[in-house]
Amino acid sequence: MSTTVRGALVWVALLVLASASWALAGVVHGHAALACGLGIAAAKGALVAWFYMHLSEEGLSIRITFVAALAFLVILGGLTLADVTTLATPELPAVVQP
Amino acid sequence: MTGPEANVEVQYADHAHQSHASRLGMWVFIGSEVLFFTVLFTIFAWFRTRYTADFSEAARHAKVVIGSANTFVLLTSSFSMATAVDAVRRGRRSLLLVTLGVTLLLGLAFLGLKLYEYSLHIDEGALPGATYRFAEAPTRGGLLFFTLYWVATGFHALHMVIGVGLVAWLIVRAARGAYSPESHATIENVGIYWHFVDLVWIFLWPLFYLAH
Repeated sequence: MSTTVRGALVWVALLVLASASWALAGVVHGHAALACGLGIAAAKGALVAWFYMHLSEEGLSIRITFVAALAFLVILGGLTLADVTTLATPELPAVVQP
Repeated sequence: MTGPEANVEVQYADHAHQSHASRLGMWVFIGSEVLFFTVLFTIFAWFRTRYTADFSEAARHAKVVIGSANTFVLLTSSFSMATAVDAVRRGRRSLLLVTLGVTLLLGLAFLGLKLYEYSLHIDEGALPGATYRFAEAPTRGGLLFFTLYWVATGFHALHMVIGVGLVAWLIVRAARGAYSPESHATIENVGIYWHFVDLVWIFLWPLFYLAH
């Protein structure tokens, strides 16, 4: 398969996924809508990175660079969210006046 | 084709070696860009967790048709940019110029639609911060949603402006014969940048337009 034909197939897949995402937004709401939207976005992102950004052709050094950036995204975002979603408001004892 | 990129610097064995080093540098830059946008995505996730109902309500007032049209425009521009890289690899200069031209026009179309969308939000009073007057989502969460909307899509649009400028520059250089199948690292690198900007929009679209 020529690279141009492959590029066209990837484009069609991206348009189908985007259409599915838009259609789902009309019937799914709340957290499920967010999960569906981001899940389909991840699939589209993988297609763009692998084929259009040519990660499929690159060696280990370039792939690791991108994977490391994504790993930091998960670590920094994940730890921040772990913090803010589990914050407790402790009940402090009343101050005793001497 | 001959031109400045026909030269191989002394520290490299050949064009392939030089091109690989250039792409590696580009990917390190893209890594730093990922971290930049990570901050915005994390803040969005944080505020959405805290103001879930307000964010859902505010997202209903996003201009979903314009945002979705822009998604299809950007996905198509990525295809034309990828085809431009294929064209220069195969030495097809006319196809290179046409596909870069299509990419440029689609980038301008994205920015035109974005400006129109911004004008609609300004009319509604959905400007960020202290200027927020949007009666349809008069909550603290609504204010935070639209403030983040302006910051995130604004930075994305700034990246688009830079991308459009880079593609225009490539067209001028390509017309002068600066690139060859052996030597075209700049086109590969601008392509990586363009697709990354598309990648960011792929995630902004469901967050700000679809998730309600």
